[in-house]
Amino acid sequence: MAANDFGIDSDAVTGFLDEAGVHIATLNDRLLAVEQRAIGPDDIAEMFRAAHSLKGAAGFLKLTDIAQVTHLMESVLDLIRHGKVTFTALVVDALFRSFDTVSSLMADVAGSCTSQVDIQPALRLLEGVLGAPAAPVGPPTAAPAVLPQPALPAELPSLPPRAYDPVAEHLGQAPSWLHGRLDEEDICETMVAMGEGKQAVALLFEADSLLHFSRGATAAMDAISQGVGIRRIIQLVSGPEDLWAPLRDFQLRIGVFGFCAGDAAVLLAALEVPPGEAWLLSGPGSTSEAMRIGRDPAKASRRHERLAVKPDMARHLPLWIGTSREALTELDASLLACEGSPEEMLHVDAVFRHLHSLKGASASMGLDEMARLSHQGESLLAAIRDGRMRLDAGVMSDLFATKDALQTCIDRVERGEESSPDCAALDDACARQLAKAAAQQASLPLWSPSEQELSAARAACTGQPLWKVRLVLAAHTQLPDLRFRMILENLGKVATIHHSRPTRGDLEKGTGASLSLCAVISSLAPLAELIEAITCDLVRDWSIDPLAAGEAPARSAGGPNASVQPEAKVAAGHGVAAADTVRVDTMRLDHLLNTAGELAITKARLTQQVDTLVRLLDGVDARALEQLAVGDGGGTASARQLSSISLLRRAQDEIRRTRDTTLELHRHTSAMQHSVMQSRMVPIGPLFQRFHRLVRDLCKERGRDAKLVTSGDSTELDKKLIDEIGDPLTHLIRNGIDHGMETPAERVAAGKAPQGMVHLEAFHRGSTICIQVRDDGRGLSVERIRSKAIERGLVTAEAANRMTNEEIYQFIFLPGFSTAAAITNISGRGVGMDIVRSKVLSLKGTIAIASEPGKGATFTIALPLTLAMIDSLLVKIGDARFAFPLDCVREIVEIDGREVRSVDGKGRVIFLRDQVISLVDLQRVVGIVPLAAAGGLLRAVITKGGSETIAIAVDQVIGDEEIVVKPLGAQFNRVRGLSGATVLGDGGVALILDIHGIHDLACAKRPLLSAGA
Amino acid sequence: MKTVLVVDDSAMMRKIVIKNLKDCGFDIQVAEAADGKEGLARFSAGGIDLVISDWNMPNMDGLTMVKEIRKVDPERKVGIIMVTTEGSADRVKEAIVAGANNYLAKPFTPERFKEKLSKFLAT
Repeated sequence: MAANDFGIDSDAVTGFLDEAGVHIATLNDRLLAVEQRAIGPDDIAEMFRAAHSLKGAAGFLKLTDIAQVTHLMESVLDLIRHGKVTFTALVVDALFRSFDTVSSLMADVAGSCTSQVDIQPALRLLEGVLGAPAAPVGPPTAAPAVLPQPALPAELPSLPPRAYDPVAEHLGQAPSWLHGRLDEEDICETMVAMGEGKQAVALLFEADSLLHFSRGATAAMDAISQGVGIRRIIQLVSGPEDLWAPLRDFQLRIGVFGFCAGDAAVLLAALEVPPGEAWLLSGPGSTSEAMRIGRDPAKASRRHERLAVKPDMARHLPLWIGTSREALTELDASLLACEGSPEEMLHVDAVFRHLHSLKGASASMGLDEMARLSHQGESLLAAIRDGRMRLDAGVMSDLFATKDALQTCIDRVERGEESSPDCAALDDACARQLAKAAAQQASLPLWSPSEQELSAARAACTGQPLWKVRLVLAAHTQLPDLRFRMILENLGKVATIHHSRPTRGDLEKGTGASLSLCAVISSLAPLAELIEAITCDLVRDWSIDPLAAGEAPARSAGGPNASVQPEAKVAAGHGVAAADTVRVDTMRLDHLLNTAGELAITKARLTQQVDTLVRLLDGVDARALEQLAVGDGGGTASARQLSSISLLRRAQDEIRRTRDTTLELHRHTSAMQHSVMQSRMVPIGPLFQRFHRLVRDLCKERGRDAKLVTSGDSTELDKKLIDEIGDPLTHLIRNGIDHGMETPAERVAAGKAPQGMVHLEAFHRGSTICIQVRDDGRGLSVERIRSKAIERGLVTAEAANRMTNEEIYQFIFLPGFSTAAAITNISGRGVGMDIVRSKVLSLKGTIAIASEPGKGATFTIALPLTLAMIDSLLVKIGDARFAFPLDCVREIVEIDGREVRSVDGKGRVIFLRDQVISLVDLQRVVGIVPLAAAGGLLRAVITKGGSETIAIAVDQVIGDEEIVVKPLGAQFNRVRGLSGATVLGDGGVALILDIHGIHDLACAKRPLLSAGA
Repeated sequence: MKTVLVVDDSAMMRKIVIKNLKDCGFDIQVAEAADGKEGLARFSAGGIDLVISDWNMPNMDGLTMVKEIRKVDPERKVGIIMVTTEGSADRVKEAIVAGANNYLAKPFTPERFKEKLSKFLAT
């Protein structure tokens, strides 16, 4: 299963795997809690979320198998969440099985190999829970392009499948022709549009024949597209079954479904070709009720508002009439002024003000019809003020008509008549004006060149880039045609104009109305020149979009202050703030750590060199210099001598400052190393969580009952250690349960609680991290191990009897050593503990065993905090320098060479505070020749590796130093006793001793473990 | 420059969203939050122009967060886009009613992402 590179790099896959691991752990963990009846609604919600996140992420990476399984997992958990399914054994098993399947699939992805994991069993189990029919058995069909959606996430499994019509579901009483023709996405977009305050409209245009349609309806469609964002155009052809029937027998209707930003009713009123049906669909939140609108003659009959003054306001009537007439007179004067100079916004404002005060006054009197008329006039003026409409003769006449209608109303009110004048014609005229303005509001025409125009342009552009140019002029522009001709002329100087709308021919004839210009051009000129050519102060908005060859024109909006898309793309990506966390390849971190280590070495060398310099320069006698300067023995110093002296003094000062600087450098490099190392640390918790499942499965299989308790989950370890330590811990826990844990009955008989406990704990101890596996089982049987060791000929009975318990325990780490009577599939082959020990040792750690019969056993793994830097004790053996890891050093002793004894079974030993300690000469084990021990005095470093203490003879102790561990080359892999090398401050090299290796080597040389000696 | 707040409990999803944002070439900076609670806190700290939020999250889910944000921002000045796994009309409806402006169905294509985001981020 390969992850599709869906704009997502392999880094994302790694990220997915990391996160998915956490999700799977959560799921496992919670499901285990289910079995212990310790789960609440929050836990189930968390499980659901985990499955959901897994599904979402897998869908992204086109990991279809994972997505398929997690989808069903999610469905099952959803049912559980809603209490429709309970956790039965079947459900739990199905879920566990699917977790395992997903884990295997993830392992596949990690190895990026072809899927060998069969997801069918897991799918069938889950589907069994869901009650859905099982998917057809067999390999999935070849790479489906889209995520397969296995069975709708049924809310109730018992529900029979039904045809799902999102229109019926969400749009209430939508027209019948819309049913089944909109998909879920259309509905979603409708919800969004309605949320934006738009209205969803459905218009149906009748066309008697195809011919008629092409003429009439395209014009209608053009008009609509100015005001409605068309989502879908639906062709409805009805006619005889016989396709060869005469064309006129067919009836074609065109349905338009879209969203309208303004008032849909106003828009419709402005359509020259009225639709046969127009529907205004209800929005979310409101009741599902569709409204049929349109020029229904019955509806068109005007509401006849009565001109009735509110009774309580009647006493104010005379005052109202007086002020209103005054306002009307002023309105009249302002209108006349407007007509005289339509560009003058001052007059427009005045008209607006008068209408506004009339509206307020009328409304307060209860004269709603007058308020409505004033408001309608106001709307026209608002459109003019916003530049959406020009104050042309048409608008002027509508405004005058409004004023006249208001005048009539006031007259009638004064006469006490209650019937309002018929304003239908005026209303229609105003609505049309407003619709036109609404169309202008969609500032740029939504125009794209037709395929024909485009291919013509492509043929003619001779390889030059093609651009689509759109612009719209300010509403009050005088003679727009002339303006367009100027723009096209300018544009013609820098580009070839292939097509324009209106065409140059149209412009010369004078089309008058249009304020927008669209064109297809080709040019090699820089974009800036094109922009300059089309912009002048009356251009309200513009856009230049590249037309890629053979591609749909890209959409982008421009504006006088906006940068154009191609440039924006170049400038993209700057200023994007860094995320709070970044994922870094461990290789890079290793490199960084390595470099930090090198830096530390360089620093150490520098420090040493500076110290030497300081010492040398301090050796220069100040008085001698003084004498030189004043001239020794009468003669004065020459100028050259004097300057040399002052240079020397300056050098002295300078080198002291340099020493201070190196101290600072030391601080910084230490801090840097620390934070680099810190960056590799991750908490051990997730690793621990993995073992809950292990314990559960083991107990089930072996008939035990045990609970895993973890503590110190937040203890942080080097990432590499976490990766490596999982295996040894698995072995320890397996052994603990299989060998150590009694059955519940045995436990009760022994007076213990029936349920055993395995405790997994992580904690810091000094510069090491300890991971402890503790159980309360029967403990290690010293006798059985002893007899087994003797039986296997590993040790003589006599020697074995002299060994301490700790020494006896060490036998279980030997390859092939097992005390188990029967080999189970879990343990007994004697491989496990061997692996544990070698793994721990390879990580430069130690493992210790403590046990009390009948009470349990404790295995403690101690690991170095980090593998890269260690504190060490530098010594000299022969003429070579060696570094002891300081953790292993217990003390340094000087002993009389004569006190070294030879003891049977232990080889050469020394006595230290009544303790017998084996003495190892590195000469013997790694072939290094020590210098002759001076005066019979012997220096030895007492080291502790594992449970044994040995002394290693050295010639000279240099001191402790923090060193950077460098691996030895591959050619030294087989050399035992050495774990690496380091570069010292003076540039020399010291080998790092592998104390465990030396212990092993020393033991091997010792006759103790070889039979018969 | 606009600031986009990406709220998702999955760091990888945040990464995908942010990568897509960058690839679209919007002039933006990004803030992140790992759940609704954090998202709300970051939002309340101010300066956010657009919120892209996941639905299912611990502590506080996306829908609740949207409702909380709209309590502070009743004029809907800040755009909110909900990321849902199924682009089902029910969920979208729920989100819109709660105050979201738009939705994005997972998995989305880069084109789809750009189309949805351009309304809010195009300069």
